[in-house]
Amino acid sequence: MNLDLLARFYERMFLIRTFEQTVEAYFARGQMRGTTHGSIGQEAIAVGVLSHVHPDEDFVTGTHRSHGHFLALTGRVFELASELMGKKTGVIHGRGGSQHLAFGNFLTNGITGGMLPSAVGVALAKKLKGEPGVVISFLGDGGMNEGHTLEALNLAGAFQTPNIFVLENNHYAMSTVTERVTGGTFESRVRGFGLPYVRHRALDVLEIHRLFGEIYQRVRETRRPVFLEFETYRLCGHSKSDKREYVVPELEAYWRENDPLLRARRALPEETVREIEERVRRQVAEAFRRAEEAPFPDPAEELKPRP
Amino acid sequence: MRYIEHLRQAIEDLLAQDPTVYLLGEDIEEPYGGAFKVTKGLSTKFPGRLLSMPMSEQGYTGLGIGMALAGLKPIVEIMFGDFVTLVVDQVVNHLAKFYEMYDRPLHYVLRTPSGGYRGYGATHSQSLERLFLGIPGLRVVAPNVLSDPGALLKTSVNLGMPVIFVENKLDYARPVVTQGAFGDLFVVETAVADRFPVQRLALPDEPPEVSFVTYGGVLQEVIQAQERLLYDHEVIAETLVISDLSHGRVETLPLRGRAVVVVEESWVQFGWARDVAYRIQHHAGKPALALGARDHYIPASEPLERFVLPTASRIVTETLQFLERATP
Repeated sequence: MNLDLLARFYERMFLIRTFEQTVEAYFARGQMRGTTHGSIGQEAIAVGVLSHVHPDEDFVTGTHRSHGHFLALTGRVFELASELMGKKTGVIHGRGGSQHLAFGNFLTNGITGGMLPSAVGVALAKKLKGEPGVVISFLGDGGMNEGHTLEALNLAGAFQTPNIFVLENNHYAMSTVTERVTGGTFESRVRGFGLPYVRHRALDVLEIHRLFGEIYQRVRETRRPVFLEFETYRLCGHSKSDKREYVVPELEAYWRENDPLLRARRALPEETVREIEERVRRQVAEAFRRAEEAPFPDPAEELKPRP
Repeated sequence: MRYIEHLRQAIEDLLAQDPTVYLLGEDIEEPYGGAFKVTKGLSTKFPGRLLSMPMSEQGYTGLGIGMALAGLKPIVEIMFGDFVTLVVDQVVNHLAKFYEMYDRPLHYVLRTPSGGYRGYGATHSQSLERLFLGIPGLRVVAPNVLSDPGALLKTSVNLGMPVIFVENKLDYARPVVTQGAFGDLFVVETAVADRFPVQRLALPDEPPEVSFVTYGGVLQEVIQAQERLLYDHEVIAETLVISDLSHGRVETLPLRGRAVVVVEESWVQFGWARDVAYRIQHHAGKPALALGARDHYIPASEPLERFVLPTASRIVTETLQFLERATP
């Protein structure tokens, strides 16, 4: 086992979790406006997958639940904390908030599955222009039942675009157990569109990193789409107002026991873990403190007249 | 040249001059060349630049958005204006937001033919551009037979913000006259010079009593009304036809009539015409009336369809009544 790599991944996973927990605490104290969708429990996917990305060549689309994706990709805690607080120092100067992030070739939006048609379009443009790079798109199990998702998968299959679809199946579409409202299986559905399909239970960040590395290289070379489903679990509410009254006890128990973050933690020397956690806690606290002190954006600068 | 030829020539020029322009739509390639034949012949001249799409409107509308994010200039065709209901989420919650909230210049034109008077019935006759009016981050542009549709399309493609480009099915076959004599009576001139101009149709010398303001294909009914008012009632009217429906300056239109009648093809309730009439009345201080379709779906049978949609005869009748009421 590559302990240096694991330590690096653990630091990023712990950063995401600490960030999400800090956001929860701010909401609980009434110190944040709006809403938020946490990714506690799913950090290993964001970190393992996005460790491969070439930010200038590749394009990444997220979802409404993308704090982890953003942090895994950029590590910019202060900008994200500022964005959630509606500050000028935010990722897009506070105009977007938690669900609407745009940073270089990384875009998220608040409509479940809604980014997928655009993601196929970016990949088609790469193909038409003969440009390198792939498009990596996260989506959730809830988004798998949206029409635009299925239309996008069909287009990717029809035009053979360099897309990698990363389904983070956390089993719940808000409070609805997705399996109970889904006809057939995601696998048969995806294969029906002519896309190769891979499923993996997301327990081990190094294993996710290795698996995604293979798929990433394959799509960079073949320029053909692949669909990857991760089984995962959300160890927090859907959004800030969710009391989690709907959880399936067996699922909850399994994923509490097999939390990928704790698994990585157990594999590292205690000293390393202590150092990482202290460093990350200081980093996050400092970023939130600075974000609190940062100025609000000016409407005259942010909201310009149309041409 | 006819309206359709202006459009086809403009698309041909765009494809020839700008390698980033692509067309997406259903049945747009040869041998079909589009449901209304706007792209006839072009896929042979420009192989690989017209991409035939499945019947998957929200999917390929979004596909075009991604192409625009990657720096291309897609022109996306939705076969009938009625089908824009299928793409509203991609346009409103994605395209408009990427442009304004994410501050990304986007070249994106969604072309779609609107309008009725053809007996096609409830789901193939509507003017649903109304769904996009007032949505920040979108420009709604509608050519007409007095404004060069090709020039408007070229401007839209290069604008750098998303444009919903609303064509008209019956206008495709009509000749375009942008300056000078129109028929035996009227003269066309530019009333407001702009990237999206406002054109005026009027008698050459006589000052009008009433000004019509309109857009798109219903202009045909308005012109007929303008003629009948003159011949049958000795009322002189002018018509101002707008091509940029998101035009924020209707208050300052150079209206010569003492009263104004705003006409749109779509339903008058909560619509474009009523909003424009309100702004003219309250900011320009002229009495203004809004006319449009009656509050029903658009039936197929001709007398029923012409009962619902605004016709020249209804425009004449309601304009005369309005002028009487609005007499000082």
